[in-house]
Amino acid sequence: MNLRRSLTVASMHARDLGRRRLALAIVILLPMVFYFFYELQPVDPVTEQLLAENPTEAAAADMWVVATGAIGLGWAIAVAALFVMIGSRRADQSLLLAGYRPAELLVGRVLTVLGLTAVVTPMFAVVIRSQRDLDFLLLAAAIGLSGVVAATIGVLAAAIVPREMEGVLLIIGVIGIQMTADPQRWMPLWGAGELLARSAGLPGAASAGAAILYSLVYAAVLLAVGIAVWSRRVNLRPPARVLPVERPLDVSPARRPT
Amino acid sequence: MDGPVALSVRGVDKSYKRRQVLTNVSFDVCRGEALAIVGENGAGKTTLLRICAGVLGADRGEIARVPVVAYCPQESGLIEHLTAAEHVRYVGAGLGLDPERAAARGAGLLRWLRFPDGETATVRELSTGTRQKLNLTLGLMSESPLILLDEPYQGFDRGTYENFWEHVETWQQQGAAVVVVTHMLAELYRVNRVLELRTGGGWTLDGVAEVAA
Repeated sequence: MNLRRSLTVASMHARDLGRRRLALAIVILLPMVFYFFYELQPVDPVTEQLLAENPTEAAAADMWVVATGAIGLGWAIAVAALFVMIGSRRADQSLLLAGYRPAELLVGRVLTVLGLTAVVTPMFAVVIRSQRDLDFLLLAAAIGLSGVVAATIGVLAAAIVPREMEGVLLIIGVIGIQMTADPQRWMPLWGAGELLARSAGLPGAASAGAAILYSLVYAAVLLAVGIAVWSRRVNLRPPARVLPVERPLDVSPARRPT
Repeated sequence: MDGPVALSVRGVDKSYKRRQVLTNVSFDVCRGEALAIVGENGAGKTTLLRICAGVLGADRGEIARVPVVAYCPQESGLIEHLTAAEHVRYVGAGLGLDPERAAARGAGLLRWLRFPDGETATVRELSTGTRQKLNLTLGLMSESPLILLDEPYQGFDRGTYENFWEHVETWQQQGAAVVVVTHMLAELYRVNRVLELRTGGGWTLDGVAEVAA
């Protein structure tokens, strides 16, 4: 694998993505919409009374509001990864014939989506930190990690399904289960959730190291499976025999029409 | 033809579910030679070309060819929000060309195909014919001695279409083996040999039946 070629792939898809203004706006706004939807929801007096009597429950409920924003960001990043992958599918044959290896193309596209995550994460973390007393570094790490894991979910979805629609449905399913699963352990965004809990100082949260390691290992496994499935799908069939090229093509100007 | 063989197809079969598309197809194409693949819709022309390029596997049979192919698929493999120069750089990096060499090679081909000079629009803003010129350019950037073209003139205006067939002759003179899938039977005098595929798997080479369907 040639990292330089992957960087070329990343830079080309960054240009492509950067020109999709509406899609970028949605990626940036979606986590905010998730977050502010729960943030601005009125709480009924009975619940308010119960939460006032139980500070731990209140902190957990408060953290759920932040978590929905992080999940919203994860959803947006996963769908962006899906569209970057599937949107390039028609170009894949030409690129592979030009000499790219499947893993080089896929890693380059993942780098593009991670770049997008790196842009959106601090913006979102600053908005949340301005409203809540949380550890900023842990908060940003939690949001960033949810983006990293989500990017690999999008890549795997793109490798498995043939079209965008099926991919979006698959991601909705995964994120939906993530939001409702109890316990959250073994879910893709568990590590990010634990970091969020730690950023708010909630008792019983996993250590930052364990949460980060969990997320990175989860992302690495999803990416490896994605590369394996996708490579199998797009790989070229080499000829049974390679014929020698005794002389190159004569492309001198004299051989070209005026 | 006296040139060395650039593509050798032996006993290729291909079916989709129960529908037999190609049966025991065999032919060689030498450098300096042009072969046209003709046949009605669904006869397997694109399938055969894809098998030759290596983007599709055959059920049976063997392909021998030069290591790198210049392949221009019927459906353009372009990325909507990239410009022509960016596509050239993208494909060039895959070929191991630095950006300057890729740009120079791409610019030469684009000029040759009469791509609008100084065009900086993204692909989504280009006309069908202009997109196809870019598609063809990207396919040719490898400078491979085996050129596989699947109706590459879709959307070309009349002048560019005429030029295309002149290009086929030029590529032959440069020493390339050219395989063109085409519906344009009036242009067959421009190629050396004609492979006609029939629905159901039968085929003829230069009018001689090689296998029964």
